[in-house]
Amino acid sequence: MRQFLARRIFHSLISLVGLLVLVFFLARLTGNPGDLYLPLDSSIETRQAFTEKHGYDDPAYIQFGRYVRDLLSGDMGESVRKKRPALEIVLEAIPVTLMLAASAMFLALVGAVIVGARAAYRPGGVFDRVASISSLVSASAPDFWIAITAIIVFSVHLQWLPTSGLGGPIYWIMPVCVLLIRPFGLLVQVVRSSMLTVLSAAYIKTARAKGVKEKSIVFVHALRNAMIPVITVAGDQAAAMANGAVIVETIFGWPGIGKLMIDSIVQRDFAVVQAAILVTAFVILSINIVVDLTYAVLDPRIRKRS
Amino acid sequence: MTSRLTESVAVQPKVQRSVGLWTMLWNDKFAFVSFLFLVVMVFLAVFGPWLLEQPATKLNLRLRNAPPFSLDNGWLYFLGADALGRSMIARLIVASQNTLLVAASAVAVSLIIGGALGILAGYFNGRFSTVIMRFADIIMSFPSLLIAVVVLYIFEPKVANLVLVLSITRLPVYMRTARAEVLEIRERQFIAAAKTLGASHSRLITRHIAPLVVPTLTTIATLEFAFVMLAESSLSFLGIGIQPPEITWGLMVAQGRNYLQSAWWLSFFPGLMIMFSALALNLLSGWTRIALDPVQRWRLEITNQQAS
Amino acid sequence: MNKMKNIVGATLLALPLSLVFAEGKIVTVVLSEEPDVIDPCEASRSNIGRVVKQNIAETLIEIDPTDGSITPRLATEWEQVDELTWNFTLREGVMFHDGAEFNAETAVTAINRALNPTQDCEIRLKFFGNINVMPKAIDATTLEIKTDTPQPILPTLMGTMVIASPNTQAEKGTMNPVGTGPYQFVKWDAGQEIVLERFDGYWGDQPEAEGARFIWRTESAVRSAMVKTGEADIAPNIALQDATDENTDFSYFNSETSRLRIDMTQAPLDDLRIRKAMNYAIDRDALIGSLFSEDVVPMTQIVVPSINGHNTDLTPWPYDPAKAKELIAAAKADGVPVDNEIVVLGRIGMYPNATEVAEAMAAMLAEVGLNVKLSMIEVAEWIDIFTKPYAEDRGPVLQASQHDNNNGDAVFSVFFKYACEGPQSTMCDEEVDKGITAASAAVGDERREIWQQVFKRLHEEIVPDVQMFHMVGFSRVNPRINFTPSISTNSEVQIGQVTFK
Repeated sequence: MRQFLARRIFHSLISLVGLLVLVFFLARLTGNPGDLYLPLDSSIETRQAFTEKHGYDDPAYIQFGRYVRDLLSGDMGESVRKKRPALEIVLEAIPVTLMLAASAMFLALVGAVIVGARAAYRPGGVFDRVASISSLVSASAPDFWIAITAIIVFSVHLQWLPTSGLGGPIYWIMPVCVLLIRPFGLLVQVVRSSMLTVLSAAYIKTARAKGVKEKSIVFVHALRNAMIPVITVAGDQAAAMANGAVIVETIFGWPGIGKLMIDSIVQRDFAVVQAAILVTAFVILSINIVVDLTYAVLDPRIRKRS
Repeated sequence: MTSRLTESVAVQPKVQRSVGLWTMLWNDKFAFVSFLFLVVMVFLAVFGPWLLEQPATKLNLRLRNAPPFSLDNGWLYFLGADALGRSMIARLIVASQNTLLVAASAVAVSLIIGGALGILAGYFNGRFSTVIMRFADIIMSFPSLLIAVVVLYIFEPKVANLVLVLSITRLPVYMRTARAEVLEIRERQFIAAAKTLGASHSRLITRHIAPLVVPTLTTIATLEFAFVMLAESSLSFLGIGIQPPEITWGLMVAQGRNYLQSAWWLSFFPGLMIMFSALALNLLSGWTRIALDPVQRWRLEITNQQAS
Repeated sequence: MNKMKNIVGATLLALPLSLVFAEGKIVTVVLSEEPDVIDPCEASRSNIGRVVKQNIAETLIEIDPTDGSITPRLATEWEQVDELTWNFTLREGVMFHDGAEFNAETAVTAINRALNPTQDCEIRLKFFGNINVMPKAIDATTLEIKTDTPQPILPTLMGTMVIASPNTQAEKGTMNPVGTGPYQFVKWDAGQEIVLERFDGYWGDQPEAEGARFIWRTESAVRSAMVKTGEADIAPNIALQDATDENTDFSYFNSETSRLRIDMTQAPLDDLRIRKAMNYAIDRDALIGSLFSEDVVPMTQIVVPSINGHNTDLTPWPYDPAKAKELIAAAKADGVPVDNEIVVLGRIGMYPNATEVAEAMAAMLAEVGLNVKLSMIEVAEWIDIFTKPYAEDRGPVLQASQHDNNNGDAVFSVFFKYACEGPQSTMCDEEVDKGITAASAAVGDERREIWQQVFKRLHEEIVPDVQMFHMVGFSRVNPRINFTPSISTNSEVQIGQVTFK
């Protein structure tokens, strides 16, 4: 197990390096940051001076060399726009996103397992049908539409919740709900279909024949075996969220990594883009490792081989 | 209804083969309606733009934000008009072409490439697998927004480029799922049996493993269909998706959100279309998987020794 | 189950109590974006200016936004000594928030800091890019400013210069702006809020508001909702479709002028008849009150009426599609390639419904028989195409753009847009260039008249734009306060002007 973990971490580091190279060169294909930073009316000379000062006119590989040198000494560069160290800006933004993503993912997963398992328990029943249709609806709802509608309904008309912003628990209700609605719908579907396959398997029939209580069949025996595809999908969703719950952060004014990333990409603030990707990639790779470890825990055969 | 049929099959794996497909479809009203809906949608997507190009693009500021459910301005305006006074019905139909094209191609591309890579990675669970899975890690940790900006800056916000962006970003889902499934299937007795009988790698993969992975992947693909339509919409919301004069439902939702307080129908109807298409596709695919797929039946009957 | 209900009920009841409402004498302003920095030398960028300008740090001279005239702020008087030299008399008894005294010496430090080329301050890049400024302290209250070229409107130019404390670090941007304004900086919670509090040592009248909070939300619908629910007091900038409440929503000319720039070097746009035809093709009356506000005014020139040099005698282009078709037919008969594909190039998100506007403009031009294609692009690409050097093979392009001049004089617009050497100009007209040179050196009525002649020639004989509108912005103001948005709300929100009902 320890060896597996060590190898997995080593491989993840390689991915990280690959990612960095890719991001660095791709970002530089998207134009000169000076054009966006400087006022429209500035002269060609001013533009040139700015470009030279920040080294944007050097060939990309020389810029990359500089970047790697700085990176090795722990310097991720400075934001052109915010004139502060890029890493500092990113580290301010990441906790908000992680807290938001963790609460939404936790609630979505728990909710989906309960609803999905319940639906699979009596397939074709009223609960199953309602759950199937409504989870599909929730998996296919445009989140920004829901977010703005929710603000209009719950904040402006009913005045129950604050429109937006960071604050006490009630500030979390709308962002978390909007964020979990799609993963929840998706996960209910996955849990349900995975449970159905497992419940039809022979050993469950055996357990039933032996007279093991129905509830413990569903929630102990079957669920454990049904979790592999669920964990895969959940991991994927969590990774996507760690990359920023862009829409939710944008609309509700949460200063998270997704909003930071989109702003920096649009403004060509390369240092911030790179630092942000480095940090989120670290989180995502960790999630992937956790997912792989979970496979091993859930399925002894995989564990044995690893 | 679907679910009842689905489950009766799952629990008692005896399918009455004498019953015709059409009868089976007719018996499941949800699936039947879904089927009809999709047929109509595909028909409209193919011929709609050709028939309704004019009302979908013609400016008519007199009818700006005309409310829905009124026949005063003709049937084309039954669902109202948008901010430039263009018929919502005509625009929804014209937009269906791009929307379905983008979603279908993006899903198909990532399903085929991602699925194939994932199966190979699972089957050859060695260095090759590691390389593929690290590749998936890179894509997963790469913000899709950056890919979108890069592609849209260097190329144009055209349908083909959008398909490229969306399919790349969705690859890892298929890769990881396929690999996880294959890892499990490999351990089953019949694979070992086939191996000892001297089956080649390619035969094992195409005849024995792929058929077992495909149903899971198609389930994901049908769910992904909605996801891709919404992702496309989110890109439009952020200003880096498809751009007018091209239209998609996603773009219509994104543009209409500015008018949520004054003209809700601008973003509501295209949102509804996305939802209906996703629903129809999922209901029909659930039905198809059970009623039509011999692989799935065979799987349900034979693999009872294993949990999947 | 009952217990559950009780808990839910209690939570719901408790909710409204814990909301943060804009209360007390603190003014909450909700901006569209978080400022990148809050350095005084960046105060010309609109969201930074709204926080810093005249709140934290003040200018020597204030430009009256309604007519472009200049009034005293930190300077009380000014006079031109010779062609290259101006003297400013400074206000006495002014203190910076950090205790430093404001005098000629500290003013020199502040100006030198803002113009320091090691920093990319926007004030320098935008207004002083080509001027060499040499400030000098003559005595405690007399500031001399010499320039290398004649600057007849130097006082107006100084209206953009925000004075920071001499203790501000010189070589790097600051996160802690210190000035002489009525409010001092308290804290900036990155991503969340900027907080200011009233400065007791302010030289002027004590304002009513005890402090200010700046927050930001990207979506206009959210900003307007926040004022409605009482979570904010002023939303300086909301979209037309959100400005639905007459009692709280104010429209104001935001000094922006919206147009399609015609690339005059490319056939068929190099033909005057085609350029006129395009102006006849636009039904401006139909756009007003639909895609644009009721309050926009059809433009006749790039600067708004409050700018020195605006020519009020010019009349907007009428809507006359028949005339347009006639002109196009005449051009075609002369062999002008009128069938070339003309690209209408819009910028995504330039203003709230920029995409719909571009679609409408393209549709109207197509209506008179031009071969028009719409293309919406991202801001970086848009700037690349908009500014020189231009690509060789660019083809005929109409580029949607918006120009903002609230700095009092036409010089901040005309050279850049219409001179042969202008960085965003596609035209070259000897007479226009002569006019620009003459006006830039002139003062008073003479200056105004030359500008007016230039605008007349541009409007009637050259037609370098498909003209659209002088735009309006919308602000939503909480009914608990008195605050009147004006043209200057685009660049500043003076908390000192807010009073409570």
